[in-house]
Amino acid sequence: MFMDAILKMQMRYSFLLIVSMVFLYSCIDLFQYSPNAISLDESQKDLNRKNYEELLSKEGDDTVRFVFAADTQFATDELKILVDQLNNIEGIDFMLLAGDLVQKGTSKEYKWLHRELERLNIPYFGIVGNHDFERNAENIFEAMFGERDFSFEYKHTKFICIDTNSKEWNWNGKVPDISWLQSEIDAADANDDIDKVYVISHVAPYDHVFFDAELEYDFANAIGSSPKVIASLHSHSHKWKISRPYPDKKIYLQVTSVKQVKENKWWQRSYGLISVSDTTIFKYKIY
Amino acid sequence: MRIFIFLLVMCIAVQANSQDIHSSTSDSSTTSEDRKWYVPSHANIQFAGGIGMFSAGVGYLYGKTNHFQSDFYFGYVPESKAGKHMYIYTLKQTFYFLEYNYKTFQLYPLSLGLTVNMSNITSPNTDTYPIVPYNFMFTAFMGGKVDKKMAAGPFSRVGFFYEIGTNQVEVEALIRNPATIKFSEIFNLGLGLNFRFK
Repeated sequence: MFMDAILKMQMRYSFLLIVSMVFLYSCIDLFQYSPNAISLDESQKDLNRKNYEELLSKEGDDTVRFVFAADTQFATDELKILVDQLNNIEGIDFMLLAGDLVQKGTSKEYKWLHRELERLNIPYFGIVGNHDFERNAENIFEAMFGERDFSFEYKHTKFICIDTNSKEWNWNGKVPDISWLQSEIDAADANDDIDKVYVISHVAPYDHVFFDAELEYDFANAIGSSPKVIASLHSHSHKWKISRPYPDKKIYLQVTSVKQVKENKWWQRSYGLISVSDTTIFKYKIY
Repeated sequence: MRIFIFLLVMCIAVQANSQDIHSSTSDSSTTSEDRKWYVPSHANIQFAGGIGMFSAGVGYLYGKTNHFQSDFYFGYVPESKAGKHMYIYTLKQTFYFLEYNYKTFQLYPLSLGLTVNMSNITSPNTDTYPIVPYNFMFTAFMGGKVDKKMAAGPFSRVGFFYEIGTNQVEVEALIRNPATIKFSEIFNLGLGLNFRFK
């Protein structure tokens, strides 16, 4: 009777078994403790530091050109197109991904993101966005990219990346960390080796839904305090906008998302290409 | 270290529970049909499967042929694997389709089920993000189970089960990105033991 059962089973379920074996073989996390647990390989950790080392090891010309893209939430297909496009452009030094890297903050979303990003020929830096606090993303982002407030210097230019997601910190008055920003800008001001400073964050200071309104003018004043600061770069709104909203006339850029969004009645996705030497900002479509 | 303490406590709890039922059944010679409705019919221990590194729980079997199973699990993911201590509360509903018997073994080759779980790690600011899609996790799974009838000991049956499952976030990501995410990449495996009380 048992043999009959086994035979029946073989007829019916050997197919099922084979299919499931194939599935399991190609799983990313075969044993997933939780979708929110940190299940990153060593190659997927501490990326901002590793990429900075890669950036310094590369030899190039004196001009600095970088890609400014953001909001890759649930859009690895679009990111793939962007990566293919950037790999065909020469003379770009690195890419800044300004927040909202994933939608729901699960570990696998970060792994899928990393799989596309590692195909890039240029180094990239991840900056924290409001979606990078969903569920356990706070810890996953930290393990994957490192510090949320960081700065780096490259060819006489300083890039200050800061967490401005005040809402995700429950308006505790400490995010963005104005004193840290001011000290970084002051240090750049005092350093003769630095010619230009760019400040990068996810939420723009005039967005009071996510940015602490009480810190708006402190943030703007810190940026306006140094003539070396060229522009403050943001994303979050999924809409392209270049403005000079404060009396110091500093440039505030908001970049469109990598994720496809409806803009002017057309579905669009784009990124910014910024040339540091002559301070030009180009908007490029992803197609 | 904490995980071992947790597991030890869970094991003791399961042991104590099963001993109680065992003694009560031997004293009054009741069968499983006479069990009070609120007394669980079995206990489970599970590894992985998206509901904790290790999870343990109790549940009920019901239906004409005991093919319906409802469980409550408490899962734990250690700080080193999640950044902070993660506690996951899970409700699981399973249906076993087929049953084959051989001597003391019972084989359930196909089961389908759903779980809903929530952990102590939640998204900030639920006033802007809806609480259900951003905090609850819904999973669907397919699996199987082998039971062995035990003549002696505190349990009437001890079973081994496996589950291949996925959750709503990964399904959504797959639908959104057919070019970069493979169908097989959204699944994961959970393994567990099932202890049926006498």
